[in-house]
Amino acid sequence: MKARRQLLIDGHWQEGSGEHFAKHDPVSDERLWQGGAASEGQVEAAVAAARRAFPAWARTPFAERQALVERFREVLESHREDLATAIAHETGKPLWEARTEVGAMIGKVAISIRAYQERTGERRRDLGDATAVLRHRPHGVMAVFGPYNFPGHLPNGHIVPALLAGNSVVFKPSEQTPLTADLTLQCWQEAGLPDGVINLVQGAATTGQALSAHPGIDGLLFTGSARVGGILHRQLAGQFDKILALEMGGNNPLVVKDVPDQDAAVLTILQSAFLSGGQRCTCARRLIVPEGQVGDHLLDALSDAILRLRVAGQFAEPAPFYGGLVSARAADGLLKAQDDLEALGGVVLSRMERLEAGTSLLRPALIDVTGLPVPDEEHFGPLLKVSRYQSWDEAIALANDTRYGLSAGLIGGERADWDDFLLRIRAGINNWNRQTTGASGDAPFGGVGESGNHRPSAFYAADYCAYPVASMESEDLHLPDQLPPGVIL
Amino acid sequence: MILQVTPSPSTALPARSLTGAADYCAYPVASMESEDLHLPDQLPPGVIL
Repeated sequence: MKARRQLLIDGHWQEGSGEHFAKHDPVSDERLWQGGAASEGQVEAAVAAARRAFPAWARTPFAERQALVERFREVLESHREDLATAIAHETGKPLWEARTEVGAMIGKVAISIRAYQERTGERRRDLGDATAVLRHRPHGVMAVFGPYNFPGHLPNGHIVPALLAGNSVVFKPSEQTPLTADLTLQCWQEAGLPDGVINLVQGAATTGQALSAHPGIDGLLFTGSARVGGILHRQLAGQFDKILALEMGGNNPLVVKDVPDQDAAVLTILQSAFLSGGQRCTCARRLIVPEGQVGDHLLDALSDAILRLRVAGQFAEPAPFYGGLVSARAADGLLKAQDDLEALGGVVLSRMERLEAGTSLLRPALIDVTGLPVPDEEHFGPLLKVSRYQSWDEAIALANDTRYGLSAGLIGGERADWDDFLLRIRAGINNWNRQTTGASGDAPFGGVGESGNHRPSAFYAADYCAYPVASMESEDLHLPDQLPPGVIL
Repeated sequence: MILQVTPSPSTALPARSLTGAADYCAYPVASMESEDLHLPDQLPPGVIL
């Protein structure tokens, strides 16, 4: 596949007339994409195209929409390696992991079809001499804002359910991952999606603001930071006619109750905190460890494992556990966060370092911040803060001491501890003896607090892509056996 | 094991019906859980323990 480096509006590729921008590989610095952002006028044209395409698409029988989405799946299959290579280049993640992301995009189709039928679809039952029917209708034009960490899978998790439900889409990917969006939209075109049903506007904040402020959108589906999500939430306040789904981050706790198997505990922590270089919203950011020898030994073993962890370029052999962060600038931010935590009194157990000058390759940080007033921030990279605790109640209190509530994990403990943890922890994804970064695609995905706005995604994405219509209906209009009191005909 | 539970008096996930108020009275919690903590047969790429 070859990048078009353009926008897709009403089925036509065209140059962006806004500010030019480029994306470089964060490890090799190879230029991957360059082009113009969508201007305000082009955003307007994209929304208008989606509006024009909406009625016919919404009236297309579900079976035909399903068939088209299934053709998209076949096209993805045929371009698997091209897409995986693009994702690896753009995000910095290893090729093996980028391949799993394309696999998730492919798997999303069957899950979304099942979710449409189970969560929305149509229900009917007899009610007296009428039939009570529940149907679901699409909202209209959905603006989809994608993140950079899963530039294929996460926008796809909004777009596929939105299209299945009969909506049209204007997609604004992250300005850090224009290439993956470019190729994915080519796949939709190759699958035969009618002109205007999906439109691509590339660009950064200016383009995003033009889209989110556009009165012609009926909904906004966003995955990204709590800061930007908060701006969108305030911007759409009072607009009852628009649906807003926010999937944001977390300052996720991983609580160690005891350590039945030290190597397994270390692996679970590595996979929770450092998978994708810590660039997953479900990554553990805070490790909550008991005081005493068991906790000391665990942290020693974890520090040793961090030193041995292979971090290298996306295409290196043997394959790394993780590769680069999305940009050298993001890596700078993580290094600064380490400095800030150290300045607050944090004790660095494993020091984050840039492995090669000019790249975004970072060795992970492990920093003990027990008892320190550290800010409740999501550090979106390989930085894990440690807090030691003396009692179970203190561990739970520490875990819940966040404005977020996306994921949480428990290592060790008995069934009773897990049951107690489940009842007391505020998070939408809670895992036991499994990495916090593990989530099933056929479950809902979302959190509480500032991790979202109660619009869970994944299997429940179908819910926010359609609204229910309840009907009482009868083919015959006839008088009842008995008239209501006071009525004389 | 994958569970979907709601922190409500009933842990059964109700099928969609003609009434939906239950939706906004609870939030979903998805879990991957195992009573045992053990190493997988094969370590992920790049991990040496």
